[in-house]
Amino acid sequence: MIERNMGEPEPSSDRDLVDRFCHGDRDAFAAIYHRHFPAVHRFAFYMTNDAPRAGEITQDVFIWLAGHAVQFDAARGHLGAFLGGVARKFVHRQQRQGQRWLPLEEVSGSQSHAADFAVGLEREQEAAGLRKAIAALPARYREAVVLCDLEGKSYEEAAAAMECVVGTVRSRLFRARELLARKFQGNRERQKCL
Amino acid sequence: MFVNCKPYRNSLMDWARGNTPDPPVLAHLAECSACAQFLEEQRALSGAMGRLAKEPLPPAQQFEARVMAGFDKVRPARRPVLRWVLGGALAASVLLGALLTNRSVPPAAPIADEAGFIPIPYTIPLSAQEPFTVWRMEIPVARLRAVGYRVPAPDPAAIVEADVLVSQDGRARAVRPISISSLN
Repeated sequence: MIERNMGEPEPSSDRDLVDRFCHGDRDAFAAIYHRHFPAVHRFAFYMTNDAPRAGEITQDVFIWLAGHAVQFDAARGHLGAFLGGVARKFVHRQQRQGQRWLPLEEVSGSQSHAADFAVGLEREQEAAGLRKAIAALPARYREAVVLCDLEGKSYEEAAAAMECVVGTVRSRLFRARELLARKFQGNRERQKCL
Repeated sequence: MFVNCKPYRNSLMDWARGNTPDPPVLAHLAECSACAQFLEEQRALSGAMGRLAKEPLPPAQQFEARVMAGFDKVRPARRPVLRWVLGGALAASVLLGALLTNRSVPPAAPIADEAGFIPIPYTIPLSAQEPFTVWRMEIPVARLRAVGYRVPAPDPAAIVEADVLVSQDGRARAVRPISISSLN
């Protein structure tokens, strides 16, 4: 009836961790944060193309979770998808509050954490150009690209996150990629000329 | 783009994203340079996207302090010392209750059986279906001796860390000792 578990501990599920941190377990909350930080930060960064702002949104998402964990229902989906939805709302809230996105000219001068790690100048330019192009897309197209191409979500997962049907995701992604390809090709040709 | 290219463009985009194309798409591609150009551009874009997605992130620790501060604000930490004190007090009262309700002197029970729980003498045994909870507690040796356990410790003030099996009615039913520590 009662056994002591002497084996290696299995990684806790998100559900267990949420239950634990709801009862005040700080370590469980830290584990949730470390597990989901990459996806949340990546989404926020590509949606804003602004590392400091992405950091703020990422922090806001997890602080919000600390106070609203009861809204997570494991029966309705994974915590990752839930947090993705929260991050999306924070990004949209910033837009609604009138905080303007940085103009393209300023973006290139902004400090990017990614630039510190870029392999070479060409790759840096390519990455910066692509990030700028993504940031310049209308929000609905940008979401489709970030979710499907940068986060590797399926059309179905992206549709759930974007609260629309799969066909809409496909058409937005197609339109976004058409615009991006045009800009990306132009950037490459300009780089070749330099 | 020719008028008849439109139906193929979605498939070409999917192909550039790593999906397998249908045979009609391949056939069209063989005779349409515009679509071949489109596919090449989309593939170049996919390659760049793939590299972008692999860009390193800032370390999670960079934002951790503020996130954890937010957590602490919403959910103040429980004080472990206080929890132990409350747990110990509860254990003592439960054990005392068990002692008072059983007037006769219980036989001494061994404490060295680490394999499982040792029933508290003269308490009602837990049935197989009866719900219970297990509490980790620190119990003074003197308390354990008071309810009939034989504890091989010279110091009666020593503390035994133990799991206490508590039945649904709040009574302690069995104890599983884990370790013993002397305060001296």
